[in-house]
Amino acid sequence: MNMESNHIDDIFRLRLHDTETPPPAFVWDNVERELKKRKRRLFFFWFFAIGLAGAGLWALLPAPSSPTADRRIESHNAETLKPADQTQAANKLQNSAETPDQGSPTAATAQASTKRAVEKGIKSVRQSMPVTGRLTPGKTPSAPMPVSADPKYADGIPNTVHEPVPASNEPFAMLPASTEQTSLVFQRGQTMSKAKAFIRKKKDPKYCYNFAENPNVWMVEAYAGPSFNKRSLQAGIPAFESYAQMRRNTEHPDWSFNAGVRGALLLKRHWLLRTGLHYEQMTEVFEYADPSYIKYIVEIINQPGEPTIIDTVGVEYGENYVKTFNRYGMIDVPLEMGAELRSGRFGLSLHAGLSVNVFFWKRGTVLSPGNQPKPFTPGAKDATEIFRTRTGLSATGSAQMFVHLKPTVRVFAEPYFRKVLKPVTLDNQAVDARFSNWGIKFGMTKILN
Amino acid sequence: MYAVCLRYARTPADAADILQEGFLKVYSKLDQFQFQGSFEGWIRRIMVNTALRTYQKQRFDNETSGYERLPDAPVDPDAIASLSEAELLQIIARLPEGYRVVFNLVAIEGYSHAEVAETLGIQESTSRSQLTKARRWLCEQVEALHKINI
Repeated sequence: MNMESNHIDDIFRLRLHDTETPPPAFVWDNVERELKKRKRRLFFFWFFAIGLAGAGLWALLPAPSSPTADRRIESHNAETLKPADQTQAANKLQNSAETPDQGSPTAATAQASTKRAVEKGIKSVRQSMPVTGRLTPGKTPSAPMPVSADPKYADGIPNTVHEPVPASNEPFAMLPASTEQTSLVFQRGQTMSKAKAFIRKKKDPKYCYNFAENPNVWMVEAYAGPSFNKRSLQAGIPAFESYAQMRRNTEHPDWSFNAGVRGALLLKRHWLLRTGLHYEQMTEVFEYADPSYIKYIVEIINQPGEPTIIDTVGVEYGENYVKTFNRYGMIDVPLEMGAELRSGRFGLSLHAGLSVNVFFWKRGTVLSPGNQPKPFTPGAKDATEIFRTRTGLSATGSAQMFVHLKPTVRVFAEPYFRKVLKPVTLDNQAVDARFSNWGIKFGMTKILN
Repeated sequence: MYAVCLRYARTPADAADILQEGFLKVYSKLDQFQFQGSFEGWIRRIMVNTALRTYQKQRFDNETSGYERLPDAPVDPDAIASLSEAELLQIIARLPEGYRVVFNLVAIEGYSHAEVAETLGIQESTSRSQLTKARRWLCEQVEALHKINI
């Protein structure tokens, strides 16, 4: 600590070090309110965090059965076949279909699969590749399956294009149930460089959803992210322009956030309809200092029979400085249309639409037309009501960039723009305030298969 | 604690803000109190740190030392004795920003110039010069107020 001392320091220290001054009562009210608000924020934070984590966990859990996945692989392979292969494949298909034992159930499955493939006009051996002879997640064969029943191997030509297939299926057939999750793609990826693996993943059915087979699907999305609020203030008549300018000088936008959940319906592989709940919290900083603020402390002496004496006993010069964070919460119910383009596991979708807004809470301070800071928080002392609750419609637009983590799971980043079409202030206000926001949503999509 | 905030703040409204923010920190960091010292001292330190952070954006000009050698203006002890605590707080509140923070930290809280320099991110010589100017300014104000009172 300081060893230097000075006479005036000592005097001030003695007089002021342990001085107690009672604070204004509103401080404790503010502390109490702020603590409640923090608890509420914490609740919402955990609510969204747990919700997102739950959605993520649900999305990442393996599907209970694999036939769908096999069908996806099947169809994907069909889509990737060249037309030149198709005639040859059809011949192989016919030959192989005659080979299996007609009496066995696996042969029947193979036949059914083959027939379906032919009916669809897909002329490929791979199209007819049934699940027989291969272990599939969720299914445990009760007994080793006859290798000869699989037309894929019946002619002794293994599928060498995508999957390294062993000489015989027997080791697979004899595998215990615990090895069901073994991924051939993973085994293959181990031998490749990361870059090559990434490129191959672009077309890998392990990551790509088969929209060709399911052109109409529902999707559920959850997201959150930062946003920025740009508010414009316009004087209703020219006489209020100076007041509007004062408001512009004292209110400045600040970072905000958005969060929401929504459902989307993908139609015909590329067209989207979306709706849900979107929460937008906008923040502004209100900062005001009155440089000409002067406070006179006067003593009024009023004695009977004597004239009243008003004596100025002190003058305080200050700036009457006020700073608050104005916060506005808005809930939207959007209805958007969009189009989606995909390349492998990556994609881009563009959306536009309208949303219905409810301006459901607000707190803060603004400058009144008399150039005095006035709170507008509902329930606050001397609060003034300047905002409407129902603000009508907003126009929204966004561009979503996504990547598939799994066939049915995507993560995305979505820059967006949103403009409230009507003023958010009441009709009787001297200055109209209009909100527009831009921001980015980070989230996850689950395709409901 | 409000008196502590008043000494650092420019206006009572600022002091109220600092007190509010300081108490919110106290509540949120209550589990960090080690019960090894004075609880009041711990809260006081939080208040001082909150006040300093509030004015941290203020930049002190790097001034050369030299004012330290100037003799302080003589102050009549009766002049200070005649003033109330509220008046003394008002005088401190009118100190320019840099003077006030340094005077509070060094003269009243008992920080060394090295500690002030580290806390505020200024040079020690700046802290010394600010303190000297603050003393001179306070002496003048005390004398002036005393003359008005009598």
